[in-house]
Amino acid sequence: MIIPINWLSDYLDLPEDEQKIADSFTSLGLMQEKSIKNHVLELEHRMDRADWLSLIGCARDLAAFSGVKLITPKLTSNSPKPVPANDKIALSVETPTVRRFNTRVIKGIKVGPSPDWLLKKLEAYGIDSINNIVDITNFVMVEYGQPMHAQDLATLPEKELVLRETGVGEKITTFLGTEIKLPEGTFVISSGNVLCVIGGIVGGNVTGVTNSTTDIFLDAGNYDQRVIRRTSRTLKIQNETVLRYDKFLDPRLTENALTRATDLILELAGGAAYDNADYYPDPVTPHTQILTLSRLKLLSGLDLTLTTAKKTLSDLGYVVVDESDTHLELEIPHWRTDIEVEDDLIADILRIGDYSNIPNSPLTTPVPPDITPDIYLFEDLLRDHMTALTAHEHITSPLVKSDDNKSRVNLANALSSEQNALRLTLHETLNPVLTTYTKHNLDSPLIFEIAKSFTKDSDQATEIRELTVCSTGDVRNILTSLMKLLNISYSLTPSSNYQVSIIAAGNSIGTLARDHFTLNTELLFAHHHPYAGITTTLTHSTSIDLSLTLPPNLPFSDIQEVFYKTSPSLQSTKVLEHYEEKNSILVRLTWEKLDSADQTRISLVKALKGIGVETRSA
Amino acid sequence: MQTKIRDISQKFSEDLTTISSLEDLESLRLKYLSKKTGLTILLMQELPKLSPEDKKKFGPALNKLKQDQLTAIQTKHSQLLAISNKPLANLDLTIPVDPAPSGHLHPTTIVIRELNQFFRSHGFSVGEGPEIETAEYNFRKLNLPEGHPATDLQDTLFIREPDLLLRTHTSSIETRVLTDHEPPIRMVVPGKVYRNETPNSTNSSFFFQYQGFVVDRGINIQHLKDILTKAHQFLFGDDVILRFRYKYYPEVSPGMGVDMQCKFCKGQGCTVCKHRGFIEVLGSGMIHYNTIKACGIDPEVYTGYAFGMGLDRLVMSKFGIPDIRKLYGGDIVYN
Repeated sequence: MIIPINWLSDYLDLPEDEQKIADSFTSLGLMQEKSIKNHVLELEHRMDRADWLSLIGCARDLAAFSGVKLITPKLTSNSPKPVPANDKIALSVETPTVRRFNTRVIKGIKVGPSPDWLLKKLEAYGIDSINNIVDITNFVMVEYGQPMHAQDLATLPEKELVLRETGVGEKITTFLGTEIKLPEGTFVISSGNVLCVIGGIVGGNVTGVTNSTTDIFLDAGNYDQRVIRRTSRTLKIQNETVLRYDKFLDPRLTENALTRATDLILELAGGAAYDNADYYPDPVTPHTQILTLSRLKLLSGLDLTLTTAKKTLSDLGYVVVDESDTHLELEIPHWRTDIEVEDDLIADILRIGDYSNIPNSPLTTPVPPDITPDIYLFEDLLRDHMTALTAHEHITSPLVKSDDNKSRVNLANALSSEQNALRLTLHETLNPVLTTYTKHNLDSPLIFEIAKSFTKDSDQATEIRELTVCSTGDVRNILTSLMKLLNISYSLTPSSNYQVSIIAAGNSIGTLARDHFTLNTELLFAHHHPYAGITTTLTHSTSIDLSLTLPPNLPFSDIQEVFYKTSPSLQSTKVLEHYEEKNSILVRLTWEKLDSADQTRISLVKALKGIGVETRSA
Repeated sequence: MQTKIRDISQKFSEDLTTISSLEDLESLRLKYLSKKTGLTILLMQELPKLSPEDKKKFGPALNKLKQDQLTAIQTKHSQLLAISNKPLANLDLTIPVDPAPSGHLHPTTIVIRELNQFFRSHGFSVGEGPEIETAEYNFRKLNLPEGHPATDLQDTLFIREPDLLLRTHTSSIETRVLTDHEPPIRMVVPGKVYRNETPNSTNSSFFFQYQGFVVDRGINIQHLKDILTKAHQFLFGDDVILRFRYKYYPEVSPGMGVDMQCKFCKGQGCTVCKHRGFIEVLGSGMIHYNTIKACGIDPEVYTGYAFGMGLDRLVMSKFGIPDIRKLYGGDIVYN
């Protein structure tokens, strides 16, 4: 919200120190966005306090905070006379978007430049002057937060305005001269066959007020803010009107705004004002909210009184309709469309009292049970294991470019075409990181990530927790060491030309490829043994070395299976040499304890022969 | 016997002065105190053969001899350990060598662990939840009905509009935990979140948040101020200056914004703090009545607070990383 300090001073007495004003607004919830320039404050407004998009709304809070009186404009109390029948503009409302459409007709005005005081105020706010009539509608919008619109009565094609949704292919040229093709269903205001306004967003160029205008149609509408938000986003139009209309405004706000604008027009442009029509099918009834002393004390921890609460809330415009020693019943002012629950009243009391005055108190309730998931702690353990194995952790973005893979989870509305889907594997986003290492000539990078990958099966998206380890070289020793640290017995089974499955207790828990491996961390967690891997009884193990000639295409995992089937007490196997050209290997088998090495060797040789493996003496 | 004791004592002292290595010291120990062949032990074995009077006379003397020798050996052992007894010969230990290989954690993991350590010491559990989330947990239970203006703050990446999305904040885990667990609950949640933004040096389509919440009987805003003050003192030192102010967030009421005085300009205003004097660090507040209720907890009985902050700027400032894209784009190398 932009606040020209001179304009703000119309509504309350201000301190001379402008930074003090900015600091007070920051405490109240409107944080200072930029340093003060030319006596203008720029405050952050990213919330649903629609009244904070009006100077009177901001002034009201500041007055309550500072303990000074709020001064509001004096409005004409009498309603204008009804418009003569031949000047009446009929309203036809054909869309539920409209909650209220409050209108007047003002005849015999003189359009011209605005007076100096008005020009200066709008200039300080940053709105260009058009003419006195348009300037007044803008002035009232900033003052009350209610957008308004004036149209030249003489240029309306019909004596009727239709508030409706567009059909196919309708266009409008805005008052700035931009032609816009409107999507079907856009909320518009039309007269005859002419589109006059994109409802709640911008006026057209047909019915705008010019220096030759003498009679005007003035409206203050109230619309469904969701429709305005959606349309402004679709059309990519953002302006001061949209800024306010996409918040939840109360329909009652139109009344004071229309009166204020009428008063100013009559004062600055002359003419005679008439009530035209007020479309208001479901008038809002005032809401009340009960504030209990016990809740106030519970949430604040402060020993506040209802007297203090009553003073603060009255300053903010709440009206006490009932009270006792334990509660206040308050009518919520119509501009406070943000109030939902009793706690919102407590928020008002605390912020006007200034949060910096609330003391700190440590928690004194008993510590609840620890419900940290085991898998979270396990993955942290995995990170420690991986760094101990000299791998560097990376975190990569799960957002990738979509492709035609049917298992991929695609995003419906991504801004970036390079990031419009989710990764299928961690390897997909982690592997490119290796290029950074190779680009900088760093030797043998070994990197890992523990995160989620995403897959889809018949529209059901699934998250998979994974550890992926990547390198430019062989990573089997890292896998072996990790499994040893986790004390998981595993085997490897070929699953494709590019990778093998990592099997533990009969279940596939991951895959191993030439330069990376991936493990499902939940399955890893299920199979690991946290306290194993330490031996206190030292024994002298027995080893047998076998030199084997293998038939073509026989994976080592098949040979290993024979080893373990033949001698279940086998502790480990290690390939000492691998002669690829001869398709032979030298393997060392080790037992913690072996009664008859000779007999075991005979059994192994026989079993290996069964799968086509010849044994030579090693 | 007295002579023998004196001789052994004297000889031991002479031998001890010649010892210059741990191996020699062990030999000395065996020479005098070995159970089978030690000179002192053998002398002690003669004790039963003595008359009762001599036993009374030499028993304590022998024990003292043995104890003195043990003490002397231990003292010598410590002295030998303190100095390297191997000559350096041609080895120049001042020549630098390559470090032994080591792996590194990602900076974000390091900061998450630091924060987790702090909050776990204050009785908080660590929580987590799905990254693909429903609008129910991400918005509705957080007091964000469809079309709420606050959804402006978080442009959502949808998988299937309007009900399936990538979580826009870690508050979705708060609603899941509150729905699934009975109070009392104290929890922190570090996690990835997603926004429909075009990436630049400070904004990324995905980033990390750190959320915390407590629900129990009698929780008030003073408890929230207290934990946030302590957390910032933990992160930035005891001299950190915080500013607490009202701020609207739909999922809390009363809401509270927290700013830290700019360390560069000491609150005077500079380019780092955009001339505000303070840097916004987190959002917080008392968990909204409607949120607690929507999660199946009685808001008249239980109250709670919640806070959340973006983690990446904290990580970037701690590690001097200027661009968020480097943090998660693989442009970090550990060397």
